[in-house]
Amino acid sequence: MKKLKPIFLNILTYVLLFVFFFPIFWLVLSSFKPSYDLYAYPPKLLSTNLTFENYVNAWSSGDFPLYFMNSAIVTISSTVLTVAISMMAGFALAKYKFFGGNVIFWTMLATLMLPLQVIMIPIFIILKNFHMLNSYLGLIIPPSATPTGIFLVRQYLVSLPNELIEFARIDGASEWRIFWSIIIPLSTPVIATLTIFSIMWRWNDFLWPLIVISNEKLYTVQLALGMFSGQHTINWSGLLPMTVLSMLPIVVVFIAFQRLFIRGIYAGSVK
Amino acid sequence: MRLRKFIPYIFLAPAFSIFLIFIIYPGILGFIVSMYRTPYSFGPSTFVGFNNYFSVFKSPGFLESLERTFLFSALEIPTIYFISLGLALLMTSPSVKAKSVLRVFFFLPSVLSGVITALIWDWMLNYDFGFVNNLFTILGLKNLPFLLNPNYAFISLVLIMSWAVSGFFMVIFIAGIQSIPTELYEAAEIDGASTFEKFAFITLPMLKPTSILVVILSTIQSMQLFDIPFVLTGGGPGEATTFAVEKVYNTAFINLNMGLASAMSFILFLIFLAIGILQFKVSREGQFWA
Repeated sequence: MKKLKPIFLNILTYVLLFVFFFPIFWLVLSSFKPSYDLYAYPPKLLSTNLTFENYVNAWSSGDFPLYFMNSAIVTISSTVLTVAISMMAGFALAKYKFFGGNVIFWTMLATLMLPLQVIMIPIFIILKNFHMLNSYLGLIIPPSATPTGIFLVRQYLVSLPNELIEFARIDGASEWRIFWSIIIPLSTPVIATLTIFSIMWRWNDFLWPLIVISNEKLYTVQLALGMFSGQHTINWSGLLPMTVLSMLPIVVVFIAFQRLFIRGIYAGSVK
Repeated sequence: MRLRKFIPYIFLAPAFSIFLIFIIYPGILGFIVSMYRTPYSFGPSTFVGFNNYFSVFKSPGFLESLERTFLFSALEIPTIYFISLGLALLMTSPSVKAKSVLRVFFFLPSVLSGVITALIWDWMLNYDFGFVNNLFTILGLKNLPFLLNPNYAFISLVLIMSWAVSGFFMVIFIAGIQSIPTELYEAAEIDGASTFEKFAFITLPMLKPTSILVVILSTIQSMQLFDIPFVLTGGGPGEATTFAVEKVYNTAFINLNMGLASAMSFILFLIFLAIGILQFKVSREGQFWA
């Protein structure tokens, strides 16, 4: 009995591993199969002739390179903006006592109660009035302010000793200089965490581009995949390689920076 | 020196103005729009007071979509809870080897977008050439209409979402399990407690704050789910997987009835608000997770 338990637990673990990982593996494997194997009858679980043909075709026909470019532009700009404004706001909230500080902090946290799912209609109307529909600006600016980001930075900076700032002030450093040469260099861990999360949020976003973008030339990868898969006859041999390519950046970032992901979840789960 | 008083406001200005223009103002505008009969975001609109709110309850499918959302969450939350707790227990068990590598694989689905999750499972569950049905064919079993039959599609979505988010909640549970003092287990072992007794009388009670957090976060995620069903089933077959958020989306952007959709949004907002207040209250009372 004592010996059976570890065996059972290991079997269970590997069964679960199969359930969690096989669908991803199957998608990747299928993307290398020639289309006559994808739709073969009787079905073929294994294919002997794997090929890059689907990738070449999908990449060279249609606008997928464009969608990747759009996603990259939006992800990078929005992440830079998120980190910049979250650092500034988090610094103000953590290291200054000022009139209205608490009210502003709680107001920003309270916006968690207004997810895009609830305000998509007025957002659409406002962006329309600002002429920001079908524009990069509409994709980049509004989602860049996130309560989670500001909260993460604030919690991190609160734990930094105030003396650092006070000594710098005595030495005559300006507030901006304190922020730029003391706070920012000391904040690399939280900046790294926030950057990773922002990249994931923006690259994976679907609902936001769905509302802002109707012009196909401005589709992000996720929007393009979502729209094309909704069509009646799905062209799987074109869709599969693009799905694989679209998850590649995030999977690479995740594998490279797992620790930051995990730390971010811990920090986020404190709220 | 007097300028110094303004410095925190200057640091806050960029973030706060975006909050103001793109979250807080829309929140207010949404409520105003819900009082108008508007065929679209432009064109003549008439003030109708709370009429849209009465229409919401008569409009075909909204209450059903809300009911469906609650039913979905009621199935989803315990499914997520048990799978992620189970994974966390396995990933902290001394009997299982190579845990740090295995964790990565369990977490992997959590970093994939809803669209990719939908496509992965669309491909796995396809009636004619999906992997699962291919396997059934080879084994001589009948193909199952996973995404084509209303009940199958609903259950498939419950399982697909658990697949997508359980790794994330596993990480939270692992943190909770690792923060339990080992002295408790040592003391229990001296008293001759069995593995099950240790789980039931130490692990589970000590995980209460973590469990509350997991239940609240998974409730919010289930209630707000949009992209997976939107891409995978398009809310179908029929309206079998049309949840509340998609109903709002369709009313606003397909039927172009912004006023009515805004009223629906406001009702959703009240439901989310209630969950949020609950979350706030509970986290105030039990600030154990850190």
